[in-house]
Amino acid sequence: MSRILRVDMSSSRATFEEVPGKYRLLGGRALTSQLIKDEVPPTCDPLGKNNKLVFAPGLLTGTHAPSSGRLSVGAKSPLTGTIKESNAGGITAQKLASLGIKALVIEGQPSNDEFQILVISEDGVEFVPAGDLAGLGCYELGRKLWAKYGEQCGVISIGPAGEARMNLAGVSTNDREGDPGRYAGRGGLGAVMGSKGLKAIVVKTDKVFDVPVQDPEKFKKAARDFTEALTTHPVTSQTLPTYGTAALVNVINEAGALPTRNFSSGRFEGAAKTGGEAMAEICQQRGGKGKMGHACSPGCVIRCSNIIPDENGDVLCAPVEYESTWALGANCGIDNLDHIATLNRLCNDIGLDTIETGVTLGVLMEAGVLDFGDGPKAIELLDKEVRQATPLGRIIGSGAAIAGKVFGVTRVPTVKGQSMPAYDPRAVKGIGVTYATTPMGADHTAGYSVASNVLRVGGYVDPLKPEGQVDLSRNLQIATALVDTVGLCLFVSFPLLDNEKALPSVVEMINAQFGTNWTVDDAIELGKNVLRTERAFNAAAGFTAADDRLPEFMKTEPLAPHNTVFDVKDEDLDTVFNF
Amino acid sequence: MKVVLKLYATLQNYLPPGTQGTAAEVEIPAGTTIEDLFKAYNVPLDQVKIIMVNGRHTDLDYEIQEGDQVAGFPAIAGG
Ligand code: SF4
Repeated sequence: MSRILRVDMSSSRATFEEVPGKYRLLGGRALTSQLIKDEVPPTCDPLGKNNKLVFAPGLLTGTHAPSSGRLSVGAKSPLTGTIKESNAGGITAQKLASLGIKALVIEGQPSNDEFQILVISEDGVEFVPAGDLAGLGCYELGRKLWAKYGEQCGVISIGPAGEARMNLAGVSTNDREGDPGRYAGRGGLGAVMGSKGLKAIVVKTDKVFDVPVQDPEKFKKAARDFTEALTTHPVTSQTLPTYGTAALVNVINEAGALPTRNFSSGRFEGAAKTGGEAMAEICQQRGGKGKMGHACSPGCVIRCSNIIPDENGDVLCAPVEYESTWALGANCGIDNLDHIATLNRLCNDIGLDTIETGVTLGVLMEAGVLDFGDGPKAIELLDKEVRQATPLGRIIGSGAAIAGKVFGVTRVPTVKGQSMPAYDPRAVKGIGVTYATTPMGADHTAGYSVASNVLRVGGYVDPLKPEGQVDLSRNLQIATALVDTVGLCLFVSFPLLDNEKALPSVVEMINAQFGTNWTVDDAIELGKNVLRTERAFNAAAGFTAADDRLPEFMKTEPLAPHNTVFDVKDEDLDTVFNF
Repeated sequence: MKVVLKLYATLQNYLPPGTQGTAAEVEIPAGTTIEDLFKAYNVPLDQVKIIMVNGRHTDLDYEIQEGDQVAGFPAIAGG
């Protein structure tokens, strides 16, 4: 029987609650967003005692559904002021689900500055003072927690940035090697965890796939069908395992949409050196622990992750994925993969969102604080200033929107205070619609229009024209809300879009697990409801249509090489949620 | 006439022998289509998913012009 675990940090008390009927068929993002809507005052201070940090495995997480090991993390975001859901892979979601924990709600706030570790096991819940584990980077913290609580335990943690309550701080989950790097990175959720006085959550159990399923035979068949869809689609069966997500670098660069030097061009001359092909070559040349085709959570059949080795074949950073190699690479004018991987490792260690960090560094470069392309200086800024939370470190740690204001920069690529990811909306207009309108602030994963705009997955809509982008983004935002709720990795979307048998098999797995009779339409309705819930929270927090816009420079500064601006009309943006 | 052929990811192997990286300058007669060009280099057409000329999507029957940058990709996606 699954339960909700509620942890009050004001009194260090943990209680298990029955799952109310209205939450029974919610999971992942649907559950984090609904709980926040129901329990968090929309106008509260994100770092105050009234905000709550909610963790929820997806509906299918902890079963043998392939690639379903995602953990949703939600709260009111200190970066955007909106509701936030960010999800990650790693090994913890399946353990929580296997312990029968449908949601973990962290609430209240301690009255002192001491950090604690929460240890969840089959025997119950324990609060342990963090002592000198506080202040540690996530790599050393992870090693010490494994030494103390056993290898293979799940570790959710924050680094020094989260402890310092920086807007850039993410929440890390560990991988099977025990390293951090699977981040619920976006929106400053690490700062919320820091504000609760929580340094880490240890989930101690060997269980991985122990969630009970009502109709195992039916489930097995549907899971087999879905696995077949994933293992026969060329993206999820070939390119992702061979080159990782960073295979996108060359495509997006060729399409003239790779934001370069703080979104001042759509092409980067050093792109090829930072892409998936270059990473595969380095893994081959350096050998050792280097590896492409790594699975970040058990049961993932796609395996898009990698382990980038250093010159001696030791682990430099795992993974370096597309968003990170772009944010810390092209966007900063850096084409040295070792510098990029080192910056990525520092982000993982200090507990920073790589996208927000790279975009903030780009804004600082624009302001002349350091030069574009200066990898060593960027490394120093993260390692010295941000890690130590010096005044300059705190400016970086507050994100691109605030750093832009501090330095008087107007080319600041943010929506609702959150930095744009690795696609310039002037050359991929569908993703611009998603950035502008998703309840999350600029977020590519919320409705990945790039698929049809550039990659020719799920049809084709010309990326340079405004026509068709609103419908594209709307449909993808709905489908994504569903995928995030089920606990599937977003990368299953490519077969979902191209193979008409894939979505029915997902719905069949849900029916087999919960004894429901959902149709595909019921599942889509669930996706719509998630968006309605999130929008209602944001409206009550004070957000209006005027917030669903891209920054002004994207409408006035043409982007090379296509020399286009973002020209989807405001009144069309306002129709995205007409459903 | 001279054009630039770019092949990425799994298609990289079909670039002219000795090519460094992912792009090579090649010489073709006027009137060559992308299909002709790819066939000349044994690029398996069923594996080509995305074709761009000068950063814009196009198809196999496009007739290549002097100085064009022709890029071919297999199915690629990510996030
Ligand atoms: S596809 Fe990649 S990110 Fe998704 S679960 Fe698998 S390894 Fe992790």
